[in-house]
Amino acid sequence: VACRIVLPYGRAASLEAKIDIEGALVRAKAGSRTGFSDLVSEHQSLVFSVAYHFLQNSALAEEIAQDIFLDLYRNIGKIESAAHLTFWLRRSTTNRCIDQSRKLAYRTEVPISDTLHPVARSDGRDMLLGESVRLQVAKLPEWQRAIVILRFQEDLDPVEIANLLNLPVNTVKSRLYRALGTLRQALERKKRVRA
Amino acid sequence: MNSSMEGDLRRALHRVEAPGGFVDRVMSSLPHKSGRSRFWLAAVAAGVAILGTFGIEQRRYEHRMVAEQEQQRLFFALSLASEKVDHAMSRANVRLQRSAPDITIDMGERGRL
Repeated sequence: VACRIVLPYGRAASLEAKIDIEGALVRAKAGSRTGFSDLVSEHQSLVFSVAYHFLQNSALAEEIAQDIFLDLYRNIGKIESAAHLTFWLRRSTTNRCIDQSRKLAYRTEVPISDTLHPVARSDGRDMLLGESVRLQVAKLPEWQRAIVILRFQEDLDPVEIANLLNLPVNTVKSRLYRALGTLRQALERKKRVRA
Repeated sequence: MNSSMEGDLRRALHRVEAPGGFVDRVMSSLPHKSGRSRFWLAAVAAGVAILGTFGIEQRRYEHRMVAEQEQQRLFFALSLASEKVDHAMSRANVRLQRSAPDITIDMGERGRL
């Protein structure tokens, strides 16, 4: 019987699914490949999305996601619970993306073809706006970009983001504020140009 | 304005699925055994090798001890037999000298027989 419970921060999750992840984690820790495969299936969109929104490059995002899961396989013994697993994946992916972004100087180089990736499932106007927003997010400095993605993709509050990125909460808040300001200005400028 | 932009951000940054076959590609890139299993496998193999070597050496040592004991018993038996032969020959010599004083048995001949 599936029952739904409401988790903190307004997120709802299926109790049944939660038990499954814990079960899969126990099996994966015991060396079961199917257990690990279940964990990958369950968390692939989290890892891939953070990397994709960060780098705006589907191939690179997949490469990073594969590396993250390979790392997880090596360190599965250190994972204590489903919540710890999610925390570990978010932190590893964000750190890896920041490193990768610095290496490639992605701030100024966003491939046009990849910004039109057909993953957005919405109508034409939303799609255009979504692409425009994603493009502006990809132009933010690494830390601001990481904070914005964790805030709006993963729905984390500043305290959780600070904990994840090992930053003071006030630093997270000020960087988020600055990032939103930059995005607002850029999007308004774009609207004016269109008008 | 603020909440509108936050809504736009939420919509633009929603989670997307990884490309098809991603899970299979991840699973095929994994090593067959985890590092931990490999460590334990190596440790068990090393333990078995050490115990095997120790066992073989122990058996060799026991065989050598048994062989040395057998050798000592054999030497003891041979020396007893030798003494008995000497005793018998000296008695025979005494009897022979009584019955035929001109004939003697050379004890030195025994070694050559």
